[in-house]
Amino acid sequence: LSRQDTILALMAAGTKRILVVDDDAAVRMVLQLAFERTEYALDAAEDGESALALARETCPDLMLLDIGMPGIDGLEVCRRLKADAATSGIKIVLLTARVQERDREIGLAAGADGYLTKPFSPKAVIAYVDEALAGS
Amino acid sequence: VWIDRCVGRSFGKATLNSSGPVSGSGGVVVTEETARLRRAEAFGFRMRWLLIAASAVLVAAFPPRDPWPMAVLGVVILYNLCGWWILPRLTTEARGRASGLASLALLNVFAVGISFSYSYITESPGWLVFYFLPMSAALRFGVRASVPQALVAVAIDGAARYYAQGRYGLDVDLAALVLRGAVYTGIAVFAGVWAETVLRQRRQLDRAAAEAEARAQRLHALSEIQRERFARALDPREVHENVVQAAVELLGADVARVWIVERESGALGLTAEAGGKDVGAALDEAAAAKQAASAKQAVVAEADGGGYAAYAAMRYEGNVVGVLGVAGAGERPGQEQLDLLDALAASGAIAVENARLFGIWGESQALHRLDQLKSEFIGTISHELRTPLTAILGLAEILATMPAASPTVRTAAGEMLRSSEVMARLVDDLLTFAEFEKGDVVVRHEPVTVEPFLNGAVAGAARLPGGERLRLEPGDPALVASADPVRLRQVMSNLLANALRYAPSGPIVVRYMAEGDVVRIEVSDEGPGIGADEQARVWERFYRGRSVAGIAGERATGIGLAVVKALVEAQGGAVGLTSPPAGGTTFWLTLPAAVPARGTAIPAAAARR
Repeated sequence: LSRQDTILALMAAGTKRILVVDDDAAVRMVLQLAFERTEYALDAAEDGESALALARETCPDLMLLDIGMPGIDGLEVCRRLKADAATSGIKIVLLTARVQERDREIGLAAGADGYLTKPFSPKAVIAYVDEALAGS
Repeated sequence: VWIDRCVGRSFGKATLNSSGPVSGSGGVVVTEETARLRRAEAFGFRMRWLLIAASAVLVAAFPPRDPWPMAVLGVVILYNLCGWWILPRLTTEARGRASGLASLALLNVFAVGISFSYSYITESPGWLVFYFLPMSAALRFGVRASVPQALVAVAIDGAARYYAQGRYGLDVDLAALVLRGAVYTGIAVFAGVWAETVLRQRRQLDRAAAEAEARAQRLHALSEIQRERFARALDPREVHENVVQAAVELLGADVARVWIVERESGALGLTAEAGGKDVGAALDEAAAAKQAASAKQAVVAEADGGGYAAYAAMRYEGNVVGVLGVAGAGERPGQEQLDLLDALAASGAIAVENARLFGIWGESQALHRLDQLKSEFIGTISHELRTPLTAILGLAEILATMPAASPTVRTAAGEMLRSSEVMARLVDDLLTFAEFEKGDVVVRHEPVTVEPFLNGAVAGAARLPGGERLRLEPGDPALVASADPVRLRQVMSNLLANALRYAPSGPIVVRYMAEGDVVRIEVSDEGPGIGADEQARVWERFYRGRSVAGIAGERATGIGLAVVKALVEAQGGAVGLTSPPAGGTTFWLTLPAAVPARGTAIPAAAARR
């Protein structure tokens, strides 16, 4: 099956798709393992460039987006996706080691729908995602 | 009368011409004695012209019967010719004295010539020369010279009269002779006193002018030194060097030294020296210390082997910052020199103090920069620790709850999870601490419903070792505080972790209640308690309680409670603790209530909200 077909199949089944973007493989692994036992389908990208490409191609329901990445950073990814009508519907949750109140304000100003800080409890992240996607 | 007027005028001119005892260009002060001699010299020159003129008038008016007048004129002309040749070849001093004496001697010769030549006329105007003689002596050499000169004049007068008696058969009136002598003397004394008074005034004026100019020059030099050397130098060593250099140059001392008072010990330490010539009066540290302790003005001491040493305290706003000492082989310095030393010490003190403050400022700047770097470093470290911690904490949690994992793995993962949660809290504290150090902490204010919040905090801490001892006492479920939930979570996890750690047994009870306009949260344990002497200090950063040392294997960072206090205060609350000697500790904190606490609210406050 092609990727496009997979997406269509998932959408037909009502499965919510999540895109994880983090340059740290260990963090991606934690999230992949955590979401394995949920009904969400997870995809991952390791930098801003591929995150943008993947988001435009697959149009996930929610993104867990790191901020501090080489190249295009998470804030810029967030701004670009929110500026584009085709991708502005994607819920973006920033998941970052930047914990200061000022960083949270900057993140929300960039258009993010949520802000979570590292280190995180995988269970708490799943609960947060559940809540964020409950309405849609 | 004409002669008297001429004398008066020439005297006046002489004093006027010599009015400048100070030559302006080089700033050299001409001594009083030299000035006086110059005046005498000028007087002598004028007197000579007067005598030549008087002789010519007399010869023309009264043809002499004898060759005397011609001889007198010859002597006068010869004297002047000699004077013109000799006088420039003498020193100023010798010239002045010689000129004065010669003028007087010449007057006497002139008197002899005139009186003998015209002795055939009983009432000749030539006799006027005898009035003139004592007056000239008085003007030149003072009042005391007038009486001997008057006696000489009477003697010449008498001799001429007796000569006339023998030659022309004229009578000698002794009484008239004595009377004339008395009149000569009287006029001479009057003229002498007048001249001396005028001269004294003149001298005083000259001296005052000289002093004023000298003082102006010194002040100018002092201000130059202040501007050029003191104001620009900010290195203490350079300032000290400048002060001693200035002292040597300005005061003409052979050696100058500066002792600076050390701030800690109060002792004097020699910091700079200039000149360095080995003089009889060596500058002595004990004398300097004595000066620093006592005298208000510069003091001077004469050394045994000749020479002097003078000390002035360097005062800044009433405090002695050092002592400036100068020494020389020459004469003891006058009051003016000492005043100058005082002025130099005072301005030196300002320069020294300036340099010291500048140094302190620089040090504090460096410390401040270092402190900033430290805070930034802590912030960066805290940030960098988060990413690896994410993986550890996340994977530990997943492993601990993974059904496929063996019980051993699950237990191990649970321990890993607890440890990484402690570590996460420490990382949070570190960052918060750095934020407060840098002063850029931002807290949110949003309504936090106390009961569920505390439930969450207790549940979070329950995973720590001994966490089963935690208990939340039920309170008003509708109580809402105005706080930053993230920060408050940090505060609570610190307080609960502390209680679990330092109270090894017994329940740990969390209570909350409304208290007027604030919400109060308490964490009580049944541990050993905190001594009264330590209670205030536990909130200090980096302070680690004595009880910490007693708990094996404990490593406290000493920032936990400091962070708690700073965070609660940033949210508009307060912290405190009570620990009775019997044991047990209650940590409490207050937060602003978001809605009036039910039952205790003041109606006016309720209306306002």
